[in-house]
Amino acid sequence: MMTAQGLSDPALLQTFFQRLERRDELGPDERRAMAELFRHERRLEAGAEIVGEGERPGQSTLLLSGITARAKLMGDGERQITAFNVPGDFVDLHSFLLKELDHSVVAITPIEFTQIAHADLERVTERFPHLSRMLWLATLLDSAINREWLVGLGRRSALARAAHIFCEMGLRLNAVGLGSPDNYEFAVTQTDLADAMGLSAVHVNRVIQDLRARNLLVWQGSRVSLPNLDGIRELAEFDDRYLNLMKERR
Amino acid sequence: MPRYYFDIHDQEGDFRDEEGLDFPDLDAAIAVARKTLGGLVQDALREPGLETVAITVRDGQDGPVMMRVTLETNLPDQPPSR
Repeated sequence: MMTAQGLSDPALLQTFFQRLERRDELGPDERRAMAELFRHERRLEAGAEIVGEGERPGQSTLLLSGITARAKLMGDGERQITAFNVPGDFVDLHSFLLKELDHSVVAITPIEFTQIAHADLERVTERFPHLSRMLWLATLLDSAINREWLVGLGRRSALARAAHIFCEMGLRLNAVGLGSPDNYEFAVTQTDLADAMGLSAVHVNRVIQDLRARNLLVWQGSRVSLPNLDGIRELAEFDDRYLNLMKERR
Repeated sequence: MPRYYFDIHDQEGDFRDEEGLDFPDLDAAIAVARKTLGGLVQDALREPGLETVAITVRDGQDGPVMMRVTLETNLPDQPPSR
């Protein structure tokens, strides 16, 4: 058993800091105070549950690599994915204040993650008010993305809804230095995507074929490329304003 | 588990499923086809003109099973539209 508390390599936090610093500068003291609180990184296989619905985790989980989903299981066994998380995202920063989690968090791909104790979060947010606002911002970005998904589920056609997710994932990954908006690693299955879009896997397959036929999507293995970025954005009515990719004083 | 293929007719035309999906039995495949049909109809109705959305479920042994939803719009004082 290793006694090491912290991360093996501070560079593992690069995506996390990049996500925040894409929106505002962090001071070196803020970065240091935050960085030293994270525990040693761990790994989980695809399909593993990180936090279960109804649990009261004493820590929040930061994703370092791979993709996770926030999910709700329905009585009939169906699953609704309400969010995909990418490296640099806290998958459950909200559990710091909500205490009890009203959904589960599952690994969609093999993942690496680290955790920070809620007691440590409490101390660091009391010491660094601007850092607190940046963590607040992180949860506000989550809810902005939730709003956009809600609009998609309620109002977009299946085709536009899928197109929108492909536009969004490219930008979110690019914002943390992974891939480019039109070419990125996205190792989710069509079943995962179906659960995120509120559709059947058969319908998603149909929609993917349609996007392919329109030369808007190439999805081979885990690699997504969008050969006509303007075209797919137009189809999705994609406006990146909700991702708040602007650096300003917060 | 047997593999079932879902051929779709919708506003984009005819789509033949070459990949298929595995289900425990034909009933499970039909249940998914019905749910899919619901989503397809919702999208098809966004555009005027399309009257029929259909899914044909096929595999090596069973079927094919065809499911079809047809919409009629009957305008007043006009012959029923197709």
